[in-house]
Amino acid sequence: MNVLLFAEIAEIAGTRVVSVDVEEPVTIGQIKTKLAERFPDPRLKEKLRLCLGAVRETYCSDDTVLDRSVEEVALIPPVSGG
Amino acid sequence: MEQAAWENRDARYARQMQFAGIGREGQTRLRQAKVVIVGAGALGTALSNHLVRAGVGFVRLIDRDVVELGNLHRQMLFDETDAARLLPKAIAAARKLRTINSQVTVEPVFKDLNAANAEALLGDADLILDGTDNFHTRFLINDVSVKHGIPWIYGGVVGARGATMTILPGETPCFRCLYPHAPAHGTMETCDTTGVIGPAVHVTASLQAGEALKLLAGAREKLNAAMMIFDLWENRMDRLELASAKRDDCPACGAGHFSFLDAAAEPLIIRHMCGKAAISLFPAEELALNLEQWADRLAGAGVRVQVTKYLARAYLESGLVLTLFPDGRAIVQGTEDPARAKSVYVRYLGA
Repeated sequence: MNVLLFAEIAEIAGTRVVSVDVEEPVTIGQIKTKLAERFPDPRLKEKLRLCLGAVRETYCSDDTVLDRSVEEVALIPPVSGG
Repeated sequence: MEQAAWENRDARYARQMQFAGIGREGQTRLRQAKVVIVGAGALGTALSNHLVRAGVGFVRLIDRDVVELGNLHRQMLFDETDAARLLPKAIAAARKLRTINSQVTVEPVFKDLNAANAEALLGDADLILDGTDNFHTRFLINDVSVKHGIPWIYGGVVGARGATMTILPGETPCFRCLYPHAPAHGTMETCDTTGVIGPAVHVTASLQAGEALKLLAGAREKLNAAMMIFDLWENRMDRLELASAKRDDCPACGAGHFSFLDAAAEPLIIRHMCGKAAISLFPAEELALNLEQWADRLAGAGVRVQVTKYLARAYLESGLVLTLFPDGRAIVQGTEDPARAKSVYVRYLGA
C-alpha cells in the first residue's frame, strides 16, 4: 500500500510517498505503527499519533479497516500555529 | 448627521449586498451578529479586519500578548509604533479597526483565555473564530462550543501551510472527534519554530472568514463540510471530507465531558508558551496590581524596569525577562522550565 506523507512528516521521513508491506485488512493505526518502525526518528511517533488519515479525500480514523481496494492512504499532520 | 450615517452605511456595503449570497437581508444579519475572535495575532488580525469591514455588528477580540517587531511581516493591523510602545495586540487592533469602521462595536479583551474565564468570554457569542496558536486553547474553545451550542471555525497556519474547519456542535464532527488527545509539548510545529509567511496566514483567515459570512448571513447550507488543507509552497489545495468523522465516543460531543473547562483548583496556572523559550503564569483569581509601585520597588533593588500603561517589564540579572500585567499575569522569557518561571514569579510577586 502507498502512503502519502504530508508536511513535516514527509520532511522527517525524507520522502513524500512510502510503500508499506501490509496484509489487508489493515487499519490506519497499524499503518502508522509500521511507519514508526520503518523511520525510527523519535519525533515521528508522536507526530503520527496526531495525523489524520485519509482515503480518497475522506477522513478515516485510526480504527478504520482498509481492504485490498484501497491503494493509497494519506497521513496529514495537524496545523497548530496562528 | 444620523441620516448621513445611514446613507453611508448603504454605500459602504453596496458591493457586498449586491452579491446574491448576502443581499440586504444578509447584511442586516451581519449587523446583528456577535462574534468573538480568540487571538489577535496573525489569523486574528486578518479575521477581525474582514469581519469589521463586512459590518459584523459586534466583535470581541481576545489576546494576551503585546505587539513586537517580529509580528509585523504578517500581522497586518499593526505598525512600528505599536511595537515600540509594546501595545497589547487586542488594544492596538481595536484602535485600528475602529478607524476602519466606526459603525460597529469592537471590544478588545487583554487577557489569557483559560478555563476560569472561557465561558464568560465566549458564552454570549453567535460564532467563535479561532485565531489562536495552540491546541490547548482550541480544545477550550471546542468545550465551550459544544457545551453551549455555539459554532466555531478552526484555522491553523504554519510555514506555507494552513487548515480550516467549520464546527457546528451537534451537527458536524467537533474538534475532539478528530483530535481526542492534546499533543505533548514541543511536538507540534509552531510559527516560532518553523516560521510562517503572510500569504499563508491570509489564505487561512480568508477561508475562515468566508465560512463566517455564510454562517452569519444565514446561508448554512453553503457551509463547507470538509476540512480544507493547503500548502502554498507545494501548490496543493486538498479537501478532507468529514461526513463520517463524528464519533459517538468523542469525549466532548459524545460523552459531554468538558475536561478543558475544569479549572483545577490551582492558585497559579503555568503554561509553556508554544514554541518559545517562555512560560506564561497567571493566578486563578485575578489580581489588581499597581505596576508603578511594583516597578519602583524593583528599581530600588537595582533591577532595570520598563513600565507602560499596560505592563511592566523587568530585565533580571539571570538574563530572564519578567513581564507583568495588572491582572497578575506574567510572562517569563528565557526559560522553558515551569519551575524556574514559577520561582521567578513567586520571588517578585510573592506566593
